[in-house]
Amino acid sequence: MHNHTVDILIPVWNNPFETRACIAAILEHSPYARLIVVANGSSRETELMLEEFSESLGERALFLLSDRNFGLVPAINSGLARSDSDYVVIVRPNVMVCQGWLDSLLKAAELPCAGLVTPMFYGEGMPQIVKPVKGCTHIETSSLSFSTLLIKGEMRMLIGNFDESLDGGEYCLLDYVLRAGKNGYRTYCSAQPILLCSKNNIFGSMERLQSLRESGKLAIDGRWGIVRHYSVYCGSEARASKLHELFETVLQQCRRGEKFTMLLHWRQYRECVKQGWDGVHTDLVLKRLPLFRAERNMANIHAGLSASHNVVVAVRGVQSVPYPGVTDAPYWKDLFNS
Amino acid sequence: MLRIFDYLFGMFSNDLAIDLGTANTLVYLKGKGIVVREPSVVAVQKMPNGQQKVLKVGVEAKQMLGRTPGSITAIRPMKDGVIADFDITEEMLRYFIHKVHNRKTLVRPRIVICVPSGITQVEKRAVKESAESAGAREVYLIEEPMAAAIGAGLPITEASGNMIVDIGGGTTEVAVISLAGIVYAQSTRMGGDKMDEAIVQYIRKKYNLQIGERMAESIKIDIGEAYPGPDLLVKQVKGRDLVSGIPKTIEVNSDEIREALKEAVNAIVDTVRICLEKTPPELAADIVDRGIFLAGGGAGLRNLDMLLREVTKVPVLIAENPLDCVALGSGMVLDELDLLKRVAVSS
Repeated sequence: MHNHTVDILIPVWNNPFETRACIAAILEHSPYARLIVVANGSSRETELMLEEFSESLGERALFLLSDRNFGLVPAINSGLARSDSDYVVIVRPNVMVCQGWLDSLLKAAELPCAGLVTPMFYGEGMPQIVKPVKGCTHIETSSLSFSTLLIKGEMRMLIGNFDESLDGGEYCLLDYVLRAGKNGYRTYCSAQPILLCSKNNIFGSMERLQSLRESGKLAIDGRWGIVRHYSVYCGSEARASKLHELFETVLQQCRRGEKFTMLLHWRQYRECVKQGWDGVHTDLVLKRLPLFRAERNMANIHAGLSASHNVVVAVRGVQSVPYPGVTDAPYWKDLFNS
Repeated sequence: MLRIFDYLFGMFSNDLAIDLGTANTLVYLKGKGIVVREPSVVAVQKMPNGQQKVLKVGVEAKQMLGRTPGSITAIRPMKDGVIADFDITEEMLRYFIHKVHNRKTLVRPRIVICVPSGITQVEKRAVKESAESAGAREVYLIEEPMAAAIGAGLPITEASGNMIVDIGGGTTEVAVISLAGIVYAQSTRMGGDKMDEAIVQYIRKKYNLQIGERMAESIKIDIGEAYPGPDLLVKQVKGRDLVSGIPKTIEVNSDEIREALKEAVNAIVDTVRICLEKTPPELAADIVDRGIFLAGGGAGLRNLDMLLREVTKVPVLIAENPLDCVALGSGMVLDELDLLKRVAVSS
């Protein structure tokens, strides 16, 4: 791990006690990393606290002080602009790192084509990140958080920094994931480390946050196409070994931001789990159909999916097998250019 | 055991909220509103053994100003918004609590005290102990900008941003409030008192005339302004000629007083501007929508809202009852214990 250069980027806005604890933990548990601290219009009390660290750290840390608060994403970008390391890890002050955290993240960064890696979290402020299935060390994902995020340097040089015109949250990160994916880089959630994340207040009126989300979604839809949720049914006869091409295509689509629920009968489900398809991507979900009268319950199942995911497109996994309850469900090969 | 008695007797007490201002102290009595509005002045007599004996507090103490023998002095225990003398403050608190809460020994009230936003842990503990020694059963401290925001009717518990500018006698506090917490606060030791002092100095320099604090305050109220208005206001000012030593009357106008107040006003405007710059964009956007609220006595300075609007490009509104906002706000939380516990600062 020590062969790689690592920058740890900490965007700071007030909360001097929490920030001090965060920096102290990082210094203790990441001895070979350089710090880039971006104080984004913080109070004098916070700046004084940072100056204490600055005196003792010397060249081991960069302190970027701004009189103005430009927002989280511009602050992160200003820190990223000063990084030329192999890896940059963004850590927000409400996260407490632990022994071995950086080594675990860097290990995950060695996964095939890894460009972005997120750890797991626990605690009151933990972001909603889907975790790897039990027994898996990692899973591909499209949901990230600025709480802690590893970015591969070579990837960042290729695709640039975060888009400041987006919402500064979910869609900003999704856009980055898709840009990474377009350039052949994958995004992983690593089962280790598991970092404590305390509550981080989300400010701004509900109306404004909603408006930001909506404009972020519009921008993403315009840039990448509308993200859809697909439910795929293959019938009861198809063996998992015959569905390999389908799953590979589905995985590629997940990397483009699409979401899939594979509706599988019991035996198929067992076989797919055995082949590890339940742990390849957080947006590829295997759903086991009821043992009895599965096809007759499909309409209910589809309705249930639609209720939780807005619009769900029914897809036939096998050309000759119709999707129960949906007359004109397209065949997957017609839908996705494989 | 004492706690049980406290709880029982507490049921017969009326809770209080106290705004300990540099210039004035206001006391809000639950169910009655603001019942005391007196100067934050204590007249003390220096004893032969070196100790100080409190003679009068509030209005009576202020009346003694300038009319007392050498051993009696009038002290303002609050300076620039902070407690300079805790012993005297404790006596002042004791006086106001007994004046308002007419039940003596056994029945002790719950008290909310407003403190400046930059107060240290040591100072908080000292205020709490002062209040407890003065007779409080339970003491909660809330920051003045928070109390002012509650008194001004701002939706402080929501996630949206609210900005309050509380211009008091000793300090001006600017705070951004969201989710029942002060997200960012900036304070400057510039308030009504310094404005009065600036007027005194200006007239002294320009006219060689010495005027008193009360005259300066009266000038500020009658013709003082932060931004040029449509009319030129004038006022007759009585003072003492510094050269001849005899009383003299001159006429001053609003342009001159605006010039005199320029530095003080600019300090307040700069504080607001800095606070806006340091506020995250998502909260700043809410403030641009909702506006900046002015509270405190200084909010009444003519056209200060216009100046702030001009500089910040943000709507500026004056709270309905700017002088009483802090006291009213701290009184309101007496009725909402859940809110009180959320907004109270730990000591």
